[in-house]
Amino acid sequence: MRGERAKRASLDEDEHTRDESREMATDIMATSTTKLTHPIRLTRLVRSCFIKNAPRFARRRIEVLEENAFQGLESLEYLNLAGGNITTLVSNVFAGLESLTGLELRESHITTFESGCFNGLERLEWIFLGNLVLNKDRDLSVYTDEVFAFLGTLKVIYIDGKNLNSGNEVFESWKASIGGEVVIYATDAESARYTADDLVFVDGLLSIWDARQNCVEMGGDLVSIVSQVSVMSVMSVMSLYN
Amino acid sequence: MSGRSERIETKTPKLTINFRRRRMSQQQYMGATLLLKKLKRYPTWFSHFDVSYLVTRYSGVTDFFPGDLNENLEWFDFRMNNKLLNLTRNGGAFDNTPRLSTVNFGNSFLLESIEDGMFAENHEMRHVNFAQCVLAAFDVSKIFSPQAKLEHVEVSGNEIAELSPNSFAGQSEVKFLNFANNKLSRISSNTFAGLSGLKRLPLKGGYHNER
Repeated sequence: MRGERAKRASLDEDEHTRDESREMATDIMATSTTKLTHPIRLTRLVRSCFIKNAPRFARRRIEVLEENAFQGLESLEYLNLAGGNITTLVSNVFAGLESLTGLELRESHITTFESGCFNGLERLEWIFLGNLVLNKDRDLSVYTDEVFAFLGTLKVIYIDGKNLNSGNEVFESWKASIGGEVVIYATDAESARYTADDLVFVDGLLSIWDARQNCVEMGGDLVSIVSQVSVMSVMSVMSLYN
Repeated sequence: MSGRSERIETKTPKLTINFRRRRMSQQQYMGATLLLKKLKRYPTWFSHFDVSYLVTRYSGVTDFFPGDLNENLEWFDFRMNNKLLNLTRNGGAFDNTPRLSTVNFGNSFLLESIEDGMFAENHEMRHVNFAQCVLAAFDVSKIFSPQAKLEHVEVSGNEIAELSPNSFAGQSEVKFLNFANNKLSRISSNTFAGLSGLKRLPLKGGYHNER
């Protein structure tokens, strides 16, 4: 009885939602400058046909993080600064974040780690660094000994898999300096197109994390290599054998 | 007591109109739908329902006035309003709802500003959602009562370019504060001072329409 009632209620809700969308459509039609006098079947969209009224989207990013920017957030556990245009992590920028366990810096452009920039992150367990930061000469001079020492204390470091194919040697030396668990995070279809040769260098890799399950293009050889990886998330395994 | 409040007391509190239970023709159904649509445009209509949980979407209401809402209201879900431009006090539109703890104006994509002191008398306020609007400024200390213990503040996808220092002073109960996809370019020292109980802070950058 109760189930029936719930079912009926959900049907009512669906109907209500449909009415609302119909109302919205009527509103849009009413405010439109073009009068539609007869039904139109859209068969073809010409390139740039909406350019005149197309919205111009611009990326808005946090560019500057001042010293003690997060002072007073002593209970904060998760901070997401992804997509920022931050180029420098100034010293004591994270001071006061005593409880922080996860920090996202994905899609950021950090090229300078000032001395003491990670001060105060006593409980940090994982960091999402995004692309491996390299300087113009594609070496690792951006990472100071202090940064390496800090990253070595973390449980997991997530790295975007985007640029790993072209910088395998650099990645190997970078990883050797870290010594902890490193996770490649395949964020788009491009980075998921690993070949067997690409993945040779990940012999010691503990896991591959594929959030969007894009690894379907992996061939048989690759599966045999990846299957040697000691720990792998269930999601990744599923996507590999799809 | 005014005539209007007497009318409120005698009105039967019944919010759901179940079209399915009553067998009606297509014409009757369309008529009922149109009536509902018209009623939703008049905020005074909401005061006729002695309910604590009020959900209405695409209502088309453009302004609120004192007495529009029932005093027992606790949860006000008003998201996806495509006509609301500004939230103004109008002499205390929300002042007679002392139990109000949740307001949701999310996806009201024309909402540009909230007047200072808009929810100054709502001391029980806990959850606030203004996501995906076009707010240019959001100062918790000015909009909400200093006695309100906010826990969940969602203002992602707006056009907030600046956060003044100490604008969250005294809000130690806030656990989730979402300022992602705004126009923030700088985080100054002590911007978040006072948020000692905050657990999660998304500040992710996003895309905005420049027009």
